[in-house]
Amino acid sequence: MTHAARAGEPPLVRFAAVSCSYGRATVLDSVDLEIPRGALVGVVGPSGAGKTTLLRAIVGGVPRMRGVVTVDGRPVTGPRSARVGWVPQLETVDWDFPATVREVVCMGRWGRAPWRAWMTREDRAAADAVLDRLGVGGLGDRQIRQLSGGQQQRVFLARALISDPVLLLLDEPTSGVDIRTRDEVLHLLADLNRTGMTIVMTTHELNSVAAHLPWVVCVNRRIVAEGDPERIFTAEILNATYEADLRIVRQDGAILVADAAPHRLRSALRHSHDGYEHAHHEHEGDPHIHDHDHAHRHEPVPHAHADGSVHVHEEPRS
Amino acid sequence: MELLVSPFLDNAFMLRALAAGILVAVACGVVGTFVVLRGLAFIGDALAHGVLPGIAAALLLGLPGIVGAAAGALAMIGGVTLVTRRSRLSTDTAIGLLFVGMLALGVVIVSRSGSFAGDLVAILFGQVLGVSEGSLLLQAGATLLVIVVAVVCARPFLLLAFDPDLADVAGFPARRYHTLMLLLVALTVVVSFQTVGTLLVFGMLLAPAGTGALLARRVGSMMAIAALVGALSTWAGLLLSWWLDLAAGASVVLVAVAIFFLVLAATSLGAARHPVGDRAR
Repeated sequence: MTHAARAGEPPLVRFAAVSCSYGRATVLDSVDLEIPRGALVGVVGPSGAGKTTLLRAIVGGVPRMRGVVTVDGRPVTGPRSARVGWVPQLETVDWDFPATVREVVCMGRWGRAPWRAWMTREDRAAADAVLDRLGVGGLGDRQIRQLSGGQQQRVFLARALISDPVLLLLDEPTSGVDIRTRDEVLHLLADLNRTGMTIVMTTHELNSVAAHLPWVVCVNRRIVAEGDPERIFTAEILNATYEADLRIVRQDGAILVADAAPHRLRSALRHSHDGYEHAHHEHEGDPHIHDHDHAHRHEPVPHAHADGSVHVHEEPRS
Repeated sequence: MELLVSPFLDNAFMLRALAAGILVAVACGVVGTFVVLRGLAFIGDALAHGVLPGIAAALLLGLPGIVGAAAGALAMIGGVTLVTRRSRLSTDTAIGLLFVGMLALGVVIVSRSGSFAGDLVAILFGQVLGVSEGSLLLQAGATLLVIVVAVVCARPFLLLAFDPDLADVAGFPARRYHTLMLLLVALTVVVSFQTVGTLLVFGMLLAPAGTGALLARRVGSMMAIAALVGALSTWAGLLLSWWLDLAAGASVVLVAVAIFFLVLAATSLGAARHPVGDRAR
């Protein structure tokens, strides 16, 4: 199993009885977790379960934290030792910030020269090289607001990779990008992982992302379970993680997690929207955009992801 | 041409006002850029008014106003930090509470002194036409300090504004730099209040930097545009005040705000003419 590949070495990241809170709300509660060197780990869990906080704890970015997080054996609250790359959730980025692509990419090197206010020739060359490597060379002078979704993700990956990190942290790297970009990002992460880079990413996409990763950690304030999704994506574990009623379908070696169709919602909506239903019937036979929407929402297995991403499923494991 | 320069050449106090105003404009352009990018406008406003009771108390005790202003600003920063850390209230509630509290306290203290209205107007709107050489030197020192701190701390400050998580990754202690940024705002407010007044220093902090944000593609040029707009507003405002007999400090800020809205109108018009825009998605 991939996760045990370097069992002899001490883990790269270790959480020992870590609790985090914002105000009075406890977000993580006595978490113990080890991330081995060379692992590719997905962190899943419902909104507000502490996925992003888990990532922030690894960089010492949680103000109220008890317990100890170490990276490469050193507590994260002290001076930095290991090189860490950080990719934020695209939705949280201020795209109107007055900065060019090259400047944003160079931010990944700022920890090395914290007091310099300007870019050196070496900085520029490093930024352009990593942009080239990610297939977005030539965008260096562009304003960040002038990027497409796929380019945005690549620019922030470039910013993380410019420091040549041993540990790459990504917050929802597939959220807010189209399916093609999502697949490209996952393949890129698989490639980086093969070179030995340890990668930890949060995701809310169980079928299209988490199910294909070699190792998944289920978080809901505590670590509910961790392991190969083949093993741990069971109704029991996922329902405990999401506090919901999920169905797991296994077919041809693929795992599909379906949230149980909200069947009572349908009748509830029909009762409260009699007039609306009536209006719909008037349009029968005339394919109306609402009808389409309606049918889609009540599919018994929503987003069954027959999207051809099975190859992604296999590659990160090799 | 004569109309545009002669007031400054013929009157020493007008020249001192122009010099002081330009120094304020440069400091406010640099600090205001961080205020706008980090979204600190409200605390900037609160600092600008929070210094009032300090100044009033200092004047009552016969101390220099600037000492009181510094004490007021520190009390404001300490209070906001304390309330947000000790309670579940959001920062803007904490700022708002301290803001009205300090303002009311200031007015109460001022009302104890004999010349209520005169003192209050002087504090709020400044005495740009009565700048002494001493305070001009002080202003120059403060502006220089602001520039040095902004250059040295440019990277942590920008990360704090753009991506606080990356600031943690890079090993910049976020709280420390946040406090340092607030102290820089406080320094600018405290030193500038003698020139443009506490109320108007806030306008000089926001309007030129806001104009810079509309036009600039980089942080450096945003600061440069802000400083330039501020200096231009000082010159135009002082001229308006001279020829039309208007309040000087208020005229300066009015010009700065007018420039912001003119640029906003021009850029929106430009955007409307190219409806596809430059946003690729």
